[in-house]
Amino acid sequence: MRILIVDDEPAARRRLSFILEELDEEVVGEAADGLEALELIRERAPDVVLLDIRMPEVDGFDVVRHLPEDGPLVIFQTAFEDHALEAFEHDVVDYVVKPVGLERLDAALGRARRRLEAGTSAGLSAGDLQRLRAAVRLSPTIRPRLLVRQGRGFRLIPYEEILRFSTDRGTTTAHGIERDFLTDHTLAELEERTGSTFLRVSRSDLVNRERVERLVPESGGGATVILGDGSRVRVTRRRRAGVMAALED
Amino acid sequence: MNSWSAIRAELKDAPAKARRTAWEGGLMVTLIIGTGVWDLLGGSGMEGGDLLRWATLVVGTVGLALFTVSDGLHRAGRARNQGRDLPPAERFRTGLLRSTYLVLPKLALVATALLAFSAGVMLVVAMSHFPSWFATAAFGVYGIRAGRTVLGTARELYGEVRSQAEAAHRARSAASEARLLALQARMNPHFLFNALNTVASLVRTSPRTAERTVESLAAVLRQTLLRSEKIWGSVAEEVAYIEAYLDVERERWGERLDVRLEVEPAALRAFLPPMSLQPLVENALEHGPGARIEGGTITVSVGLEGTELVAEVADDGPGMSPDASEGTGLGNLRERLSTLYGDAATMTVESDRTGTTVRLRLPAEPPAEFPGSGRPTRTSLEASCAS
Repeated sequence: MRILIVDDEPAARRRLSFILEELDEEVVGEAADGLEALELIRERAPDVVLLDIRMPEVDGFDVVRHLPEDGPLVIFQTAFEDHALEAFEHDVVDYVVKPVGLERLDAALGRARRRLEAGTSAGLSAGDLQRLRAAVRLSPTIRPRLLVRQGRGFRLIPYEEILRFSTDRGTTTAHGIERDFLTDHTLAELEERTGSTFLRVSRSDLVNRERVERLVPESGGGATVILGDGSRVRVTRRRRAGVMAALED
Repeated sequence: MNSWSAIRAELKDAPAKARRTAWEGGLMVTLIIGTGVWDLLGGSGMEGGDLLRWATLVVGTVGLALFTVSDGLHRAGRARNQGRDLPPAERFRTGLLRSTYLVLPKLALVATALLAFSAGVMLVVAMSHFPSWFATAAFGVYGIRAGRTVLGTARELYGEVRSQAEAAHRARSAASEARLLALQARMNPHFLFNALNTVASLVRTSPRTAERTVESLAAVLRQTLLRSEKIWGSVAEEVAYIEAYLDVERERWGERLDVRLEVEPAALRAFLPPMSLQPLVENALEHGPGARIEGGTITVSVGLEGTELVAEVADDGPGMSPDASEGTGLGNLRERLSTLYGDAATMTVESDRTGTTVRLRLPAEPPAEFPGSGRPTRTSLEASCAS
């Protein structure tokens, strides 16, 4: 089987490659972060990905969420997850704990091989991922950059370069300075990841506070914010007070 | 503390209100003595040999005099204490001292008041005699006031004793909670297992580094088990602890972690609760280098500012949301600090998208009323600094 190693720690990657060599498995590459992982998955089409959960900016769950339909099987790696491991056991995904022993890794790879041969897909729904993320208690840290699709690949864009987000029929668009991007994240997730830099002005819009030129209140109770690039975004009545207060700072 | 000279000193700067009480008392005493003299001279028409009446007058006068003096002292003392911010233990002690001057005369006065009141009522009923009635009323009023003061003082003392006991209990349970947390989740299993994973890797590639990392890890574990049982530890110990911790982390992170440690030598001898800096460092690792693919820098600075110990841990990560400051042990630290120092300790978090700084401000001298284990005496301070 063709295996991709993904872990942000160099020593951890090295150890896995030693053990895989001892198991006589083929390592097609090593990725030090989630973006590199997605790129290598696209380029080298591994069968199995040994995926670290806790990584900066693009974590293990972010990677799984952006995998193609016919993508590789994922085996999560984790140092310690307390009761959360039970959540993994019910799912279409496997896990190993760090430091992983040779026999344990061999057993997990054996299960993966059987599933590949049987043709069962690796599909984890967004809901499954949400649940695993919550079970693992991966705290929502603020991120500096956003993972977006560009062509058939991916890019990391600093949040400062995004003026606003908008959703339409389930799709979220990131409006950058020069062009727009599609992102798989919901506005709620983006709100968490951007902290106080972005303001939720309505159910479908999230605006970069630093790009707001001015706010024009309307007689109906709502308002309109006007951004640096001239775009106008509606603020709902319910959110107007909060938005105005946040803009005061 | 020479109590007599303390009393004299207090009488000297007794504020106006206390002086007025003394004047009041003096006036009452004069009037009552006057009543007695008047009686003696036969002005009331009563027999001078009325034993009950004389006994009442004498006991009441003496009790009243004592009450006046001690009441004045008590007010003077309270007024002095209000200006200062004495720790509860000292207030307790000085209050108790004054209370011994109060309790006996007040009890005597209450008894006398009751006695005089009943005697006076009988006399009034029998004679409708003005001076007796006046003396009785005076005793009655003072009796009520004495009763109220006794009750008030008793309540105050009870309150002090209870709050001291409660605070000591909270400190002990905060310490045992800290120990529990340190041993389980707070020891941070992620730190432990990732460290072991790193060592397992280093064993093949660089055995010497593996050895060193194991030594640092052992130091961290040993310190965690020992120090989490104590309420106090020195800054020097805490710094050594986080240095060992960071030694282990550096092997995991490689170039992605840059650490600056700036500790003023004068601050090393100060005391603070153990595991105060470690949660800050852990937090900074998560929100700083841990939040950027390229890693980042953590800066730890500890120093003295006047009578305060100031410890700051800063990172250059993308920031931290306010509710995140209750996780990763910061919430537990905040509670421990509040239990041990009250309002005297603060933890502030400043965060924006260029970085986060968490700052602790603690009194350099730990408060007196939490002896606990590990609290520094003069000799232990010297001993630990010599090692």
